[in-house]
Amino acid sequence: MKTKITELRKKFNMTQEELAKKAEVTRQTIIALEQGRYNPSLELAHKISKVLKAKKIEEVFILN
Amino acid sequence: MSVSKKAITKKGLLYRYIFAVVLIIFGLILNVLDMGKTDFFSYGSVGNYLIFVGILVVFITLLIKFTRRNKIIDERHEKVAIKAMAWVWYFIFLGGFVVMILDGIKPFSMSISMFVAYAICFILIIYVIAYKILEKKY
Repeated sequence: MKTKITELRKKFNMTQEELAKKAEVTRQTIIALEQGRYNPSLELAHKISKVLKAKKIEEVFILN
Repeated sequence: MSVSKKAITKKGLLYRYIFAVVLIIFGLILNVLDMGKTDFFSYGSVGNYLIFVGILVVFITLLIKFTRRNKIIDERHEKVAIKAMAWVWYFIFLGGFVVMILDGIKPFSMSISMFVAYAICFILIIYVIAYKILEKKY
């Protein structure tokens, strides 16, 4: 799964640590998501999309 | 429902303390009643062994309490843990098969307690290795 987390995170001047804290996960999980190593659950995808102020989950997470 | 939770909760710590106390009390009872082997794992008696493990559990729990309080477990950790457990299962079957063959070639002369101790160590080692490998993958 491809993501736009890095792009959106930088747009909001947010560090991985800050995003992790807001999404209630570890920084390692954010790194894994940004690198496309880990596919999040719908709940986490929704939470991250909300933190990154995306209207739809598809704006952040793109299925290959 | 939350995507993450604290690695160590107050309830978890309490259960550990209760477990330790039960072990220590059980160990003391066995010592008083003079029950159990005298050479159990070189601890003198089964009671001494249980008391030692109980004290160890208290020590580890205190260590966890003061060093890992803020550690968070999220869904990725849970996924890695499940996959690591699957690896453990494969290795238990493989290890069991190897032990059976080796025992057939040259029979082991080992007490059940010692065998179980080795088996638990084997499981823990495989789990830790599998977890570390899978953590890099996911």
